[in-house]
Amino acid sequence: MRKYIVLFVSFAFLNLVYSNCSQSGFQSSGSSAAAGSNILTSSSSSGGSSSSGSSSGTSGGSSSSGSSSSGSSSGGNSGGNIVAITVGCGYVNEPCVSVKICVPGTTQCQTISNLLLDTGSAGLRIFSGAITPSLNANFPSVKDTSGRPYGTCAVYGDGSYQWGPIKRADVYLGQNLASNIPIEVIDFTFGDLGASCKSSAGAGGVQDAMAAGFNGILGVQFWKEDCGNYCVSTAGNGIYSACSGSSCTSAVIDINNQLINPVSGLSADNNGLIIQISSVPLAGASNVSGQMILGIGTQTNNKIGSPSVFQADPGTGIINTTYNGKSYKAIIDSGSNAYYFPDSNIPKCSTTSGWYCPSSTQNLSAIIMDSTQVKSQTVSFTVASANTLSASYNTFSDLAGSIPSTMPSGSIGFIWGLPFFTGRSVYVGIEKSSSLIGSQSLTGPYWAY
Amino acid sequence: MKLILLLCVFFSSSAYATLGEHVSQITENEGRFLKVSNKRITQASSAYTVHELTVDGATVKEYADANGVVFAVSWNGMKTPDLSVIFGSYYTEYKVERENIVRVKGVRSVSVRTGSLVVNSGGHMRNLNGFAHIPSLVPAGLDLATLN
Repeated sequence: MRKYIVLFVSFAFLNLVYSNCSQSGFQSSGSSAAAGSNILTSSSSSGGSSSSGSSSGTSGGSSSSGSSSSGSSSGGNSGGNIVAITVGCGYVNEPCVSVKICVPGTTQCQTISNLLLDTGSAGLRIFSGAITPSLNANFPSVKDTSGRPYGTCAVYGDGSYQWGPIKRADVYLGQNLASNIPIEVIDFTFGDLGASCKSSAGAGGVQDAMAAGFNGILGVQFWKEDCGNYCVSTAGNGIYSACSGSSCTSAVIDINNQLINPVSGLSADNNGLIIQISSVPLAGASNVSGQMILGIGTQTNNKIGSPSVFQADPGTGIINTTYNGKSYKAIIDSGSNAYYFPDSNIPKCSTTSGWYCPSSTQNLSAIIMDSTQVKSQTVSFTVASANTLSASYNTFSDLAGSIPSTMPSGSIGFIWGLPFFTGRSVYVGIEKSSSLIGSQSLTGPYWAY
Repeated sequence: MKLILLLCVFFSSSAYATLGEHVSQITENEGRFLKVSNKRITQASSAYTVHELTVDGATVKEYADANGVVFAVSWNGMKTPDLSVIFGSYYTEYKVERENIVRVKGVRSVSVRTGSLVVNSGGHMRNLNGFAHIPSLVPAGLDLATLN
């Protein structure tokens, strides 16, 4: 029986999302593509830092815990509530940040660079290989009431997953401290895999930084916790497991032991965040920078402009988007590196590719709506042909790929990925937290831009 | 085995089938989910019916043709339900293909296509979803994008 695979975005031709480390398992059937300098044919898509192994950050063992150097401002703001963003450090359109983690209450710290800044997940997750071993050993484990250490299985939309123990750490975002919060140290040698990682996720384990393209994920999705009440009450949640020796079984977990959006764990500026990334010309750019401002309406630097607010569904985090007259469930996801949406009228780059390759650059628009479809706003965006985008750049505001148009109405059909963030201030309002934008009193989860 | 059958009776008075099976065929599949509740069947059109289940952590919808054969299934929830239950006899070929797929950096969705099955999945944390269908079983003239 002939079998074949198609990704929404074909990996066969896409070294685009494949940074400069080579990987034996990577399909190479695209090597016959004509040599050129576009992002579809380049083997080295970004000039960013290596994503492998140890952190390229500052101290290994002991740096001052009081004054982080990781969050130095790139913009005009001088507040400590700022985390610098660079784009493309590991692969095209990856928003990257550094954070400093410390053994709680000590000055044993390490700055971890090349973390994916992700509005599509909640929690700080770092590959064990990116943490100095002697430091890693000192982070206390999070355990259940029987003293069994917890592991967690984080599953992403593409079915990829990360497994490892939960530890507690002091986490510095800029100069702001999230004290003693649970984080995941991604480590597939810990116990056996948790339930979701064992079964339904299938094969998709991302075991190290080389495979991932980043040293970890700083998940700043508008949830306070990655799972919430579901995992407090449901032993078979599959997301959290308690481990006896190497045997890990799905287990309930207190809300305070779950991975949290580190922003919500700050003592101040904890009601949300604002992501600002510079504008990017249609041809693309490199060395694109930005910043994450912590808090909304709490400081002078996060009382800016008068953005439009779109409430997300408090259960699913979904908003809506109407495109070509059809309504889709939508997400705004900095962890997706392009716009993804269905449009059978825009040619794809090849029969096996999910990238769009229109014959001329397309100026498109879609209508973003809140979860109740009351408030709406038209957003214009541009889609260039992916095979005309130069491989000498690593950031593009006009990169787009397809989502199959056969998805039923309950599925996510429109993803506003990283290009949406360029040239904007995008607000992430954290659930159950109140914030003030102008005179508007708001409660998350919401988006504003 | 007895327990599983009892659970089936307890949680549902009608059948739950997997892809390619007839909806009237009582299987053990419900018992393999942690919890099944809120079963709802709607006649969406003359072409198909929707059998909606709330299983542990997700909503599963099965789409059956006029003869009661399940040609598609979707899911949506906190986590991906046990696909071996939903896919039934198609699970093995799915798993083989899924294991061949190399993750694409920066992409949050994936499509798996076997000789007889197409599976698309995606989403973000707390809302993972997917859709699987068997092209050869889709009723003639039915646009999958119109499924509710």
